[in-house]
Amino acid sequence: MAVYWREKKSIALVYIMLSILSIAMIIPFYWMLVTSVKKPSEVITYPPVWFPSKIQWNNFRRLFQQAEFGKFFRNSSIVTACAVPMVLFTSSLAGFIFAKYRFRGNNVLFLIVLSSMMVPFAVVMIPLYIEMTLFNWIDTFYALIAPWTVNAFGIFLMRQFMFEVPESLMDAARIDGCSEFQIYWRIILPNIKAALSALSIFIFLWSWDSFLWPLVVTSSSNTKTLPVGVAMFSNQWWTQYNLVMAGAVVIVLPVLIVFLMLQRHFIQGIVLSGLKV
Amino acid sequence: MARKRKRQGIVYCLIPIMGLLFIFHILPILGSFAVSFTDLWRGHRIVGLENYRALFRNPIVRKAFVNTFYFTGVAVPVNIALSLGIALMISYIPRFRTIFRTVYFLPVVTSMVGAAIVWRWLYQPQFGLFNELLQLVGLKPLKWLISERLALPSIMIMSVWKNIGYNIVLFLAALRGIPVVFYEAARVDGANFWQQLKRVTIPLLKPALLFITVTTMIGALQIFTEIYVMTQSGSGSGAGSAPGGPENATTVVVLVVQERGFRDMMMGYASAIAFVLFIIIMVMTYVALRLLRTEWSY
Repeated sequence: MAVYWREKKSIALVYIMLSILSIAMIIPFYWMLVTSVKKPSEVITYPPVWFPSKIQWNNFRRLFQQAEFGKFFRNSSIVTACAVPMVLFTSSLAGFIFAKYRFRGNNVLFLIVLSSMMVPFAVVMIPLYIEMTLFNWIDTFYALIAPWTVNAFGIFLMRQFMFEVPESLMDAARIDGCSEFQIYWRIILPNIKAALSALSIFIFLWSWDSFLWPLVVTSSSNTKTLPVGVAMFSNQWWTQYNLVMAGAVVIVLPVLIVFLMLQRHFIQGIVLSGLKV
Repeated sequence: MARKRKRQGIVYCLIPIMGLLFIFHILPILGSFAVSFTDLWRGHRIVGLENYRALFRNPIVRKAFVNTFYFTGVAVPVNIALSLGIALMISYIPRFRTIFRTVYFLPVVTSMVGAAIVWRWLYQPQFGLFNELLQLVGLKPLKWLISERLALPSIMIMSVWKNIGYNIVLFLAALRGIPVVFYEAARVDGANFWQQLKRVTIPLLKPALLFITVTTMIGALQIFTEIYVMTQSGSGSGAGSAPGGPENATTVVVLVVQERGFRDMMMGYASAIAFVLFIIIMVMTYVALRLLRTEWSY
């Protein structure tokens, strides 16, 4: 907002309030990190230990030595590594076509995409599960990946960004003899890198963090993903909460790192998706 | 003409993409409606409206709807007020805006399961940090997730912490979009800070406010993961026995859908519950759109 009513005293006050609130936002992260490197004896003590006497990196090794935890980590990595590029491809191609070509049914199809975005997952979940049963996909990677290779929000977001790529760029490429698909691949994609990185964080987060669907569709540790597995551990290992916290660190860290790397694009993506509807 | 047709060829690429969308996202919507009139998987009969009649009679399902409304009715306004307040504060300061924005945004890009596990430990009555902090300032420790009265409010606090960053970013962008001339005009007319906020900022934020209200509300009505993880059993972990505890104090609609559908295999019944939630979401979205509609733009 504009800066017309700034005064020195009130600025200082605002800084103080923002800082106090920031500390409140950070405390859970601090507690997670600190608990994950505590000795077991320092986890269940009263009063709680703010600074561990010795940092136990060993907790993480012990966590990954649990055969199951390693599997959960692998499963989540596989699912995310498949979902992110697939969604980027299908969303950008569909968004490109919706934005740049006129054909019969364009608007109707796009409306269908939009409306499928509004439906709560709880509604879709049961019939989707029945479909998986019919395909014989229960407890397989197909069930974890295939439904999430297309994303209505992704198509919507990409279409919004496509309007910013000038038509003349495409015409120039046509004159140079590019096919339409080459235009998409060579001209459009490099021009929407910001949008692609925004979408990739969204999808990375959703895929990595997805809980309800893996919870219902997986039953063995061969397919259980990290969130499902760690939620399960958090019950069984109640006496070893330092290991549970180490598990939380392992789920939380990858997304945070990707976010901090691509932060600028991500924020831009949120703003565009939210306010340009 | 031939070239024009050749150009249009790429449109056929939509067929596989839309096909996937149809199979995995659109067909299930129609399917859900159909399934809600059957007694799958308990049987294979069409039971008409029986599921809908049964769900309104069931006290746990009713409780789930009440809890969901309670959660939404408190968490959404608190979330919006706080995120607007923080966004105003961030836009007020001359420096370090990006740092503050990033800090408030961190929980948004945190795994919900990870965050829920951490918060469950913070709330732990004996060894948790929150009771320690309360005692440091001389207050009595609370039972948080074990208490029937406090369990849902505890989850509201966590959920507000997790989600405000997203709305702060949206509000900040909207605030930046307000033309400076409006404030200049208000200044010339002698408006003080609160008058500017009330007469200029808030009215001009209405489109953003509408979007934020609708998306936050839709998200809140579908709350599941926090509740499932933070209230599930675990010897002495400080929560009720099954997700939704203690005494169904945190049972919400999606949790009931998941339990009825996949634990009890009453998929028709669960679909009916999900469909009622869907209708509620549509109605509330429509109401929000009507209430916050703006007839002008700038």
